[in-house]
Amino acid sequence: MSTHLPLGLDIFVQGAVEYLDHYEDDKTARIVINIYLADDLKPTSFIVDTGAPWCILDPILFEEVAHYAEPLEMHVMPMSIRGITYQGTLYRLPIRIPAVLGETQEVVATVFIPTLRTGDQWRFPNFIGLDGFLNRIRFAVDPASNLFYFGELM
Amino acid sequence: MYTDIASSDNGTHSQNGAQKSRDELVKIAPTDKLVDELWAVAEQRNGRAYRRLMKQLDWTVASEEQITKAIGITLGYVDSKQADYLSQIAIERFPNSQPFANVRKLFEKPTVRRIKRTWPLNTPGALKASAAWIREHNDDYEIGHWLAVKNGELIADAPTRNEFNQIIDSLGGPEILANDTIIHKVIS
Repeated sequence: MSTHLPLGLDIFVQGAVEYLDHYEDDKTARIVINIYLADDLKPTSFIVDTGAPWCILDPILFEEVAHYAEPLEMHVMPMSIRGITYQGTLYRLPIRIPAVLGETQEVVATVFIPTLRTGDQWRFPNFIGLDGFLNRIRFAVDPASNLFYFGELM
Repeated sequence: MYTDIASSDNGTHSQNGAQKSRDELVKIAPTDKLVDELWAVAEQRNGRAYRRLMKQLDWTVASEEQITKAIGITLGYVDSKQADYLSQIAIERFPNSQPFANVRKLFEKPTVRRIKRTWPLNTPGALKASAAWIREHNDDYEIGHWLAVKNGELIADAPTRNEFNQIIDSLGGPEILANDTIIHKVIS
């Protein structure tokens, strides 16, 4: 029988979402969660990656939610993503974690949108990064029930 | 006197030992050339040279352009602590700058919006069944193809995102998708 953490404003976390422990046929264990970008109703898979700098989003997906985003208006030095250097832009974009237990929450995250050259295709997953998102919430993982718990920083 | 910090960081710069060198670090006013040098060492991921140069430059006297570039470096280098520090200096010196105000937002306490809607706990195994379907069939599709898989069954697929969205709309719109649907782009 699975048990769940208690949820509530006066305790550590307020919500939980189910996660997958692998991405595609990648043999490496991952934490993959379905989240929503602002008010968009199509769920988007993200790998939770505490080693990733900012959240990183497929530019094609960003086009659909760009009107919710606020550009940083700052020329950012190119970033290295899996050994490849990408020019790009940082935006602030609301990210919503849909709770299957407790309370759904939305936090404005910092998201890096790579600039692709004509004809290039983005061939990486989306990443939830530590800076700009994970370090702006509380989170905990229960591998026994595949639940990713999240809560507001107090 | 300024010494070429970045290039002198190869271990040949100090006659008096590293400790003394650190103690005697004298703040110097940033110049365009030094800021360019900072960009270069950060791009090379030369952490030691980056830290020394960043520490030695006196950002309180930097021009708006120099500090803007420096913040861009810290953000790309993912040096949040320094970006936070520089943006505090920047907004104090240039309070009407919208870009600096935007950067400050990255470091403010986040506002969490609570949303009433809660999805029921997914059917046990539903997500895993969909993931298993994707693993099984991923290679049947071209790179860049989009798939929507729910409860282990393909409900939509298209070669481009635009066509994919049109199919979802024709099925009733994104409302038909719950958070137990995996929308997958073939990337390998």
